[in-house]
Amino acid sequence: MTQSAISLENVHLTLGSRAGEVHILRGVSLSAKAGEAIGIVGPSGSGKTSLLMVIAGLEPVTSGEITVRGTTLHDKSEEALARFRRDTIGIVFQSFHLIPTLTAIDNVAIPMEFKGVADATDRARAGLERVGLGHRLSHYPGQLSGGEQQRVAIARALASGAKILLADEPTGNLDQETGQSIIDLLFDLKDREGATLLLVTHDRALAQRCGRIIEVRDGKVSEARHG
Amino acid sequence: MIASLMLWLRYALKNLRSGLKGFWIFLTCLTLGVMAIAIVGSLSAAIERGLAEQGQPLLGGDLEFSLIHREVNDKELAFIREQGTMSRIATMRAMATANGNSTLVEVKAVDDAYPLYGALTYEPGAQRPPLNITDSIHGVAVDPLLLGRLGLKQGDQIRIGTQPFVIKAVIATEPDRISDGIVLGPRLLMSHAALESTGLIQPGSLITWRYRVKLSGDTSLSSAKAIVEKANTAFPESGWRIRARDNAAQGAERFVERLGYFMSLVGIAALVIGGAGVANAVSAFVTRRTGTIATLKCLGLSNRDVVGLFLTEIVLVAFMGIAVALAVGAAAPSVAKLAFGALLPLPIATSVEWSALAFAGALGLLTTLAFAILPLARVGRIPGAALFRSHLVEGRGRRSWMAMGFAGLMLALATALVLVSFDNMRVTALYLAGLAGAFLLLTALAYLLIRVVSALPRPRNILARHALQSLHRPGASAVSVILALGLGLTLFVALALTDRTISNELRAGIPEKAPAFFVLDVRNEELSAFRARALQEEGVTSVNNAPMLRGRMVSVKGVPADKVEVAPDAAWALRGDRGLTYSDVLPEGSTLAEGEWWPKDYAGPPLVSMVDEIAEGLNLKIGDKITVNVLGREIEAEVRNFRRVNWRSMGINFVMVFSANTLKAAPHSHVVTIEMEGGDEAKFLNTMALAYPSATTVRVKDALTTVSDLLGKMLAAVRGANALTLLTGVLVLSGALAAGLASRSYEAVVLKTYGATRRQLLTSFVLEYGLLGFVSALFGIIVGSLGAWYLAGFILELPFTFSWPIAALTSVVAMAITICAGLVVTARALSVKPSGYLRNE
Repeated sequence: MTQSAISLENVHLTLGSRAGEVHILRGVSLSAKAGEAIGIVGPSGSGKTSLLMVIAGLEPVTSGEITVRGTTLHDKSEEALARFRRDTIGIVFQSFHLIPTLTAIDNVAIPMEFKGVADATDRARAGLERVGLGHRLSHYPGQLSGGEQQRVAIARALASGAKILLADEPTGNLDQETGQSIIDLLFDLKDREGATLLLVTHDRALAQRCGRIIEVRDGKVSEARHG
Repeated sequence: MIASLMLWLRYALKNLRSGLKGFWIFLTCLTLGVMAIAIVGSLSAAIERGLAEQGQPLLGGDLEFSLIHREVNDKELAFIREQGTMSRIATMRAMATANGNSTLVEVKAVDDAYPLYGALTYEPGAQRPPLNITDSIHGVAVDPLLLGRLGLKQGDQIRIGTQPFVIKAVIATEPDRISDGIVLGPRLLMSHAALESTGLIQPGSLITWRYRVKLSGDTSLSSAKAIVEKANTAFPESGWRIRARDNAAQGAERFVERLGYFMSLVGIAALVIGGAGVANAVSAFVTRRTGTIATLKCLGLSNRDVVGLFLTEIVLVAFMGIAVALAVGAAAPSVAKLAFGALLPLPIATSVEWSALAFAGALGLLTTLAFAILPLARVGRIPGAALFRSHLVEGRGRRSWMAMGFAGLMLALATALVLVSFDNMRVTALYLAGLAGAFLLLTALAYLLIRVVSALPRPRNILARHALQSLHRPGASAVSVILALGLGLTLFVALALTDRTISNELRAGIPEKAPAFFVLDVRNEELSAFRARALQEEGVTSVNNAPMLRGRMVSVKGVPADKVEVAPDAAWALRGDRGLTYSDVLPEGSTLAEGEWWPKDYAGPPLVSMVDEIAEGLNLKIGDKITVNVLGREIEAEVRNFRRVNWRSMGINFVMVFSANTLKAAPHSHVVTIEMEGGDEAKFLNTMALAYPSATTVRVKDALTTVSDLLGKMLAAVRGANALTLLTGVLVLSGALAAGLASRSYEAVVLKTYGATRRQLLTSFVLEYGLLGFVSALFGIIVGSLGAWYLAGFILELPFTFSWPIAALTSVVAMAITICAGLVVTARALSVKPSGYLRNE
């Protein structure tokens, strides 16, 4: 039996607020195989993004167990979770979140540098060339278009060899044509790297490109049928 | 660890490549504080070094033996001559008269060997040699100031004592001028033969005899000091004061050291206020970089790496500011010498004062670290998850004890550095404690204000309500503004009131019936005639006199003076010659504190009355015996009583008053005070100087002007440094206000959208800033007054005077500063057009 790349067992996430407790995830169980692409859909506020956050170790769960590529997250310290993300997870955001004071190549190289990768700059250059930005290496984010910024973000997510790719509405801030090319790139790289992709989107058509779709509603997940 | 450091450094440098935007207030606050300390430290060190390097010309020799009143005896002279080439000098104050006008001059009689070091130069056109005798008239060289005062020119005649002299030269530079201490009149140089001819050398005349030596063998300082030791051992009874060249200008050195000390303390306050600015700037920096911080966390960087990276960036910026400040500090001595060298009576070395710069730099760095680390620790509370939310929200978290410990350690190191860098540890510690206390109190006050305002019933007036709400809404800058401005104002008030206390003392210190003149060296035999003549002059209401001799305390209760255990504030009474007098009655201006006064016409064994504070310092009791040496004769006297003296009465008073029978027979002169009401002081001075040429008349107003001039210069320098603390305060408050600009603009836009006019918003802002300024001023006035009260009562020992005008001025200045700075900074918020802003949103 092949080991799951991602496994969630009865995960609950409850956050306190002034108005009282808010149950964000309610007993989520989910399993993703290595190399699988899963589209996550659901209405706003249903818990899609929170699902990505708990998988990335950015939000500690209230109960339940999460295992990502053999690493259980619930017993890890904050520093251990940072190392786990560095080694395992690549995240692509809707708003790109590049560091404005660093050039494209530095933005891609920084996680590898802190990981201690000796040829971080060379790998960053190769990563940017792969996403078609070999000519924009020393441009700052402010000097790049939205699509280019998202390409840099994808290169950054994959450069250090992450096998889990979490994408939160990656085309939400892009026009349709640019969005399409970004999605093509994302799937192309996922296939080449053999990474597992979890893609949060409101776009049913985009979700269709994933082999599997799950729907989040009121903090619960269910498998959705294709088509 | 080194690999991490290198990585932090690399990325910090990369971040800084995009510019210093957002760091300007941080840089200015830090640079100003460090610069103030570096300039003050460098300048005072350069002057001290200049004084040390120029020790020989300033002292006029490698060694100086000085005696007041008498010349050395043969044995002493032989000892001095053994050491090398000798130069003999006499200095005294006298009256110079010409064209019917008189003025006080500082006479200096020199021999041919003078000066042993350095060069005495004259203005062009001097007759040479200027001090010789031509046609039976001695030549003199004078300070150009004297020519102006008496309306003279070179070649004119002038009278000193009973003799006329001709001015043959005008002095350009006198190398050893500074070693004479405070001078009350212009210099007049003459030969010894000329001085003898004046008739001024009388028993009891106040003449200082100086014997300078240019060492013939080893001229090192240690060799000079060894000779000082040897001389003190060989001639314990001499009572001479011996100075080696490292002690050439003790008074000037002490003055520079004290001034440097006070200004450094003010500079430290500027740095602390700047520290508050650093904290604000770092906090704003963290807020600005929230997105980057969250991104780095999502990318897997640890808290340690993120804090390390940003701390490195801040330290690099701090280094830039410190480097600029130190460069200015390093150049300060050269610039000061270039710009003011000719005006300053002090030598300035142009070397780079590394230790002063290192002190300023280290203090700047420690302050930056101490104030930056706490706001930087917020990095730990910014979650990576923030990136997934539409607004970047900082998480709640516990205070970082590690950061607090680190900040505490940096402050402790900075405190230790300041304490060991200055001699006066007690005053420094008190000052630092006061500064820390004011800092904490202000912070507490600011939080209290916020709490009180938030608990107040909501005002009905919308503008007042909005102004008050602005003080306590999230991200309000009230704490920073009150802290920055309050500290600056506290120092401002403390200094302004101390200034006022000293000025009042100088003015009110002259009692209503203060004498207009002190006349020294009135000969015993001319006293009656002098008094009668003085009383005939217009405006003279009273003439008082006391006999005056010079004598030195040689033993106390049988213990030689150099072995007596004495309190530091009474030690001066044992040093060298002091003025002595005798009297049958308790002198005016004193009251009997203990014991009894001797009967009139007392004829028993010698008795003495001592000033109580000196007696206490010497641990004397009634009935104890002291021995004084007067004109070479030792007199043992029994302490009969203690007197409490009101020195401010400006009457004639002495530490030791002997029974009349003890000293009456010794040759002596009198010191006379003249009180006047109306009348022409200048005319009186001229008349008496002509009639009694050997007496020296000191005009009280002139002497006080000299003292207040000196104090005025010191206060002006400290005021300059204080202005810097206020400026730093204003910068910090501008920074604090600027940090909240984005939310201010947004708020203004929303209010405008719902119909608020520009005028209404302006009124609300003015109310808010005015209140902040008022609270800061109130704190500044209360705490600053307490500081000034402490300084006056316990350090200066002067009566404290509060000043309402200063308090009012402080309030107005504070409110004006906050309102102006607030409006300048928020002008953009007021002028923002809602349409564009909302569309962008």
